[in-house]
Amino acid sequence: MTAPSSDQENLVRARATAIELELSPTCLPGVLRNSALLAHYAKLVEQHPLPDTCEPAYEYVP
Amino acid sequence: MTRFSSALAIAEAIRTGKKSAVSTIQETLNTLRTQDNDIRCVTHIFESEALEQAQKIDAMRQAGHTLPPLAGVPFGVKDLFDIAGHVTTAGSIVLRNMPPAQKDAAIVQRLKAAGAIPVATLNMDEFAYGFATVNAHYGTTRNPHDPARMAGGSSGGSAAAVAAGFLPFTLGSDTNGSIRIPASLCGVWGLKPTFGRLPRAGAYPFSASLDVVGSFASSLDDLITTFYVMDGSSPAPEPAADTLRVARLGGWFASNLAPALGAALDRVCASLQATNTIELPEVASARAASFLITAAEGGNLHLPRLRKQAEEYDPATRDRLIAGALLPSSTYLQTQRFRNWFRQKIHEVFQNTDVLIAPAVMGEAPLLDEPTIMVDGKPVSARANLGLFTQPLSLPGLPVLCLPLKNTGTLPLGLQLVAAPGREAALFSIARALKNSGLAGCVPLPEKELA
Repeated sequence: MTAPSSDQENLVRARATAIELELSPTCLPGVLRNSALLAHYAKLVEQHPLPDTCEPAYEYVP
Repeated sequence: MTRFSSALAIAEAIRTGKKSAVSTIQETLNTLRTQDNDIRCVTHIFESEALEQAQKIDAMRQAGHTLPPLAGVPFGVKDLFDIAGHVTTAGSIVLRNMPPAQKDAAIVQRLKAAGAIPVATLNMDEFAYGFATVNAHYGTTRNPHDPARMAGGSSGGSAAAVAAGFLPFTLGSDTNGSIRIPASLCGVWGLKPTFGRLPRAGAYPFSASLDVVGSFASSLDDLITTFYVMDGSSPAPEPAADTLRVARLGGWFASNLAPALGAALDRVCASLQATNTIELPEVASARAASFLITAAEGGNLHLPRLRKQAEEYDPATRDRLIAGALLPSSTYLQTQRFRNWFRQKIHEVFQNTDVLIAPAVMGEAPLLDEPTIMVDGKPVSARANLGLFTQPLSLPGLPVLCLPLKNTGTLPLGLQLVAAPGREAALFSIARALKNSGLAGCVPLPEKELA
């Protein structure tokens, strides 16, 4: 995982502001690292095309 | 001695009067107090409550009443199950000022109705977010087979307590592998039942879409008996193992295996005459979806507290939860749509197969002071990657039995047996066949760890 850019830091800060969550300086590096990891996983899921009829699994029955 | 006794053997001894419930519980409490220093799996002992329940069982027997099936059998619970009168802390200090639980967790109630006695809470990763049971508040649980190594997590205290012979069975929870990983690393039986089958009431939540409660045991019979007690159902007939269609999972699940694990997997498949290999589609995305759902739901659950008392969390847990809370809703919804797509593919697989076999973890327990594992030829963080083989199978909510392999010439290694939803009996049948053929069973501790 490469070092987070200032753009990524700005994005994470903006998202935190949107949900009224203050990011302390001590947690920021760890949050950026974890956000980068989740963004990597999000790409893996989002690259998979799904039909419009595929609904979210709200009431999931295995 | 109750140490290393099975639940059924303990119940039989009490039922026939060879031993009293009180002496059984006293011995167990003494073991937990004196033998846990090197392992550190226990976080709280319910001494007076446990002895009180044991006295009632002895009184029932003396009065000539028929005892319930698990009368007097001690068990432990992961520190996220409610025990009436006790504050459920979920491996954290964040909840320490919450009121005590009003009643026992649902599966604890069912086990107590069957006569079993909860004696202790057991260590876990904070809020179940981890695969290591390295806990900033309650310490690190060590692997009984080698205390320099991880017990796995997040239900590490529960697996280690069974592996050390302290308790015959324990309760855990599994969101991404938290029963299967410690069961594999500690060499005990573990069961993650079908998503939604066992009631979660009174188990502190992590990710509502994925959380499953289950158990660990030192014997397969104990695992099965306690499962049906927790399920509130009569044991289903086990189909004959030789009538079940068994296949090995290939592709994603055939890479990164330690040589001894690959060889053991070959022996297991040969024993079952399982010659088919099946590749599931989009396994990397399934693992990613599981990871993302967990992060988003865990982050949302803790957001009100993260706004006010973030500094009380273990920093590693805190940063993961915050990152999860920041995920965009479109990402979360895409994972939940993918989950439905993946479910359909899984159901297609089970039209032609009854049980799938996959590794649980890629090798032996990692060293605590060198917590890395090899993936694709590179050392990567064990805490982030021990779920490589368990997370994709969490997403569809399938029942998975983690089977301890015998005679591998290594520290414990485990396999996942996977069935269609609700087909736990098929897992029990295959597990029994492998136990009877000498390929599976609780791995005994080395002599030096028993000294």
